[in-house]
Amino acid sequence: MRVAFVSIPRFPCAAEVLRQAELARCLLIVGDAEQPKRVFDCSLNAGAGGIRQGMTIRQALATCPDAVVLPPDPVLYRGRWETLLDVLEGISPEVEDEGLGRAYVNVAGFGAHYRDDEALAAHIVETIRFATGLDARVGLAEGKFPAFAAATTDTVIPAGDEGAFLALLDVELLPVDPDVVSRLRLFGLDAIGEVASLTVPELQSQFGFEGKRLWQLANGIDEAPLRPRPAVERIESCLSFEAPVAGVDVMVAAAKQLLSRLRPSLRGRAARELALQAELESGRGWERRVVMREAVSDAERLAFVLRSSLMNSPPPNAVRSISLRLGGLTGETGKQLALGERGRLQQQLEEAIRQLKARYGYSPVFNCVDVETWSVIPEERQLLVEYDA
Amino acid sequence: MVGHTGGTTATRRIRRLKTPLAIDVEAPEDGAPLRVRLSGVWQDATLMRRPWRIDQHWWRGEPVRRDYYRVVTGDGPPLTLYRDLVGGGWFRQEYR
Repeated sequence: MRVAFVSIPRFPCAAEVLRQAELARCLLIVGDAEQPKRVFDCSLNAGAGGIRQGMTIRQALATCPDAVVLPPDPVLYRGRWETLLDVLEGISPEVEDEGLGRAYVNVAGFGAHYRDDEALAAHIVETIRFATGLDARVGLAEGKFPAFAAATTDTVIPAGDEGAFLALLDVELLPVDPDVVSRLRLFGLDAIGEVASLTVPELQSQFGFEGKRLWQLANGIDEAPLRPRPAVERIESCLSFEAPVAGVDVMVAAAKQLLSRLRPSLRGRAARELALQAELESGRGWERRVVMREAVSDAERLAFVLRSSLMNSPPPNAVRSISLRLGGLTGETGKQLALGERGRLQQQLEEAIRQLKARYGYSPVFNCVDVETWSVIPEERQLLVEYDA
Repeated sequence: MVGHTGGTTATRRIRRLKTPLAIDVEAPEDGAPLRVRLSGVWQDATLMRRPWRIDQHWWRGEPVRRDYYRVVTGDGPPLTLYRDLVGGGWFRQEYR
């Protein structure tokens, strides 16, 4: 299977530079949101200066005191990456999302549409640059791993030459457990070609089941299937403000306006997920995602959920634009109460009891159990047993 | 052998249903209640049906002997009262 691997190296930094062009000249560090704060990503020049992903911000600043540290903006990164994946789906319907900045594209059978594979790779790069402004690296080969390796040098590998191309590359590139790579190095095998020169039994004797796959990868054979991202219908609408606005009431009103715009697109269906996104005055992204216990189609209930969500955690400052997306669409329009013990009412009751227990530390609900119903002494007939959901 | 999980055993609270509640009653010795104090107010009690006696667990060493009375007070709902013939005292209890 002919595969193109599309890579945007240091994607978070690339997205930040796209937002603020002047950052391109800086040593840029995107810090991690979790404590202790660590380097989540860094620009190429910062990497050359000795900064590595995972080191603490304190260490990074000790290494490069002039570096600019930015907090991560996952909403921005995800949004830009989703846009790029949509662009790739315009080229091929089968696109596998490998995480921020990495995607596989099935380009099998595209030979008739382009002069050659180089033209196809150039088309992908140009399309991405035109649509998103990002510079992509593209590698084309038979199979996912050879395509990934080819992208490290922007190469198109002709069919059948995968083994020869990989031979000089470092074993670090192999998509195997890091322990396997360490053991390969202990054996003095630093290049993929050296691994390829061994036989399957030799590798299996050392690495067991993994040995065969190791041999195949080293010889440029990767039979792993491409897993296209599922096609999901998105219903979303966006509202931009002339000047940044703040205040929960304004947000709620805007969200209701968006909801009323999306209602016709629902066409009687119900949504299980609401995602509110906003671009803050500072330019950073904000997102609030609400997953409901059951799909809801009623406009008032959806508006209530939106209002509650915004009241509980409003955007931290004024917003320039706000968008609403409805997800998890289902055709459910009615409720069917189950007859069995595990029916919907039962589940609702159990959920309520769980919440009461969390609130009070014990369940205030008791189950009445018949013990000696024939007894003439009333208190011996039944017992109340704490109901534990 | 199964090792100890280290977790605490989940326990559930258990209560008796229809637990008798002590009540102040005016009544002649070995007779039906005449007045009952409800919410701090003494009210006349009228017998609704013939009293009945239960005599249980005498074989266990902890006998239960009670005389039950079904009475009504003013406009209130009917009450089931009993006199504890072992420990003494009056109690109100849901009987059904």
